[in-house]
Amino acid sequence: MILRLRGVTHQFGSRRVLSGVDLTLAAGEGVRLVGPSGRGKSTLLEIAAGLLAPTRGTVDRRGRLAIAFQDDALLPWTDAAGNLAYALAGIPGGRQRIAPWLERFGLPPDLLPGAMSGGMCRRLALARAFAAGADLTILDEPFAFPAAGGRAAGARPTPHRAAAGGAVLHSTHQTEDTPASTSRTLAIDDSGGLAGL
Amino acid sequence: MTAVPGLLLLATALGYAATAIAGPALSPPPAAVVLHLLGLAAGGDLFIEAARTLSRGALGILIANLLGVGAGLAAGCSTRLVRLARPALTALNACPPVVWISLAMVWMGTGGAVPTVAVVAGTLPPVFLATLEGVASQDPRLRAMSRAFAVPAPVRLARMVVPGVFPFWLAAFAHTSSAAWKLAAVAEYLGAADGLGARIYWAYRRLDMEGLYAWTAMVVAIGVLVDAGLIARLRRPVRSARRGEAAP
Repeated sequence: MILRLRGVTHQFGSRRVLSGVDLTLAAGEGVRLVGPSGRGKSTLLEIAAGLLAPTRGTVDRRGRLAIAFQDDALLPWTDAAGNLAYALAGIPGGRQRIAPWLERFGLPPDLLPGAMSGGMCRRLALARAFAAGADLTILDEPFAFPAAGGRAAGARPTPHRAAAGGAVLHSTHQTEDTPASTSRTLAIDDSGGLAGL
Repeated sequence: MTAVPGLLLLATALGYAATAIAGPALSPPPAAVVLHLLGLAAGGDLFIEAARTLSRGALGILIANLLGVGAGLAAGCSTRLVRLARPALTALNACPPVVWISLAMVWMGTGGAVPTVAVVAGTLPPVFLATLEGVASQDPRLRAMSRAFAVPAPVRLARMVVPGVFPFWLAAFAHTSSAAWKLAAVAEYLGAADGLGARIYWAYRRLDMEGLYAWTAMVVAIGVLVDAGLIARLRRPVRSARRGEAAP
């Protein structure tokens, strides 16, 4: 077991977005979370990552975590290689992973985020998440820039990560996104609960 | 620096206009001031006094930045410390430099320590508050990302916090560096036996107008050199990052 959510409920003020969510991810498993914007997908991912405390319920997570945020969260003052180096600083041998992953996502190492397109920034955030080789990889809307090649580039490493024993949890509002790694597809229903599709 | 010839030309024209209006006894012609400056330079006094003021101002700025940046980074990590420190620093920031100069003269007597204390007291609060503001303004998503990837604390400080604070600190540093020379000169004027400020004081006491103008020109020249030589260089990496280019 890599991740287990039990009875997770979350409210923003009086508005309840998640209600009694139970979710378990095992090593090598890929779960896709679908649904329209504003349904609580990003909230659930942040709770799973330990970045947001749920109003009720428990989160049990094991191993290292990597995440690609919906808004990329890149350091604006350092280049692509520097952004990867920063996130991998605590990982032994992390520096050796930078060049291969940047090449894989077609990113020049010396370009600053301010000089990149939206698609390139998304690819850099994905490269950073996959390069970490974490036990749990969380991807929030990883394919939001299909025209820039984000979808194609992002989809390929997903099964690779799952095959290497890492669990992958990703959200999308595009129901046609179905990477080969996805073993389950779940949706947040109107009541804030999780339902299988 | 391209504006310097134009500035010199304007100052010369204004100098001659002032001489014509007030007379050479009250406002000496620029040529006489330049000759006086050359005489001071030839005797070595100009550079010795300038070096004294520069070293006092630089020491004051160094101490203020070490204390202000260190305390600002530490306080920025704790909202409780921010709440405690902000009112006190705001009050200190509102304190006029003459208070610190007077206290330094009482505590340490007249001498070289007075200008340094005045510069520290006058520049520490803005540096501290700017650093604090820089830490508080950091993108919370970057902090969340750092937590998620378990980035070690020293790496976070060096590669996330410090670069994020840098533009805030730079604005305070640019402001305080140019203010420091004026502060040091005022403190020397009131409480030191040497330095540019003290020489301005003695020129005033002797009604040596050429000397007064010459020493004043030196204080202004140092301010311009500090801004053009140091502050402008520090601004470049900030501008480059904003444009999405690698720093030159």
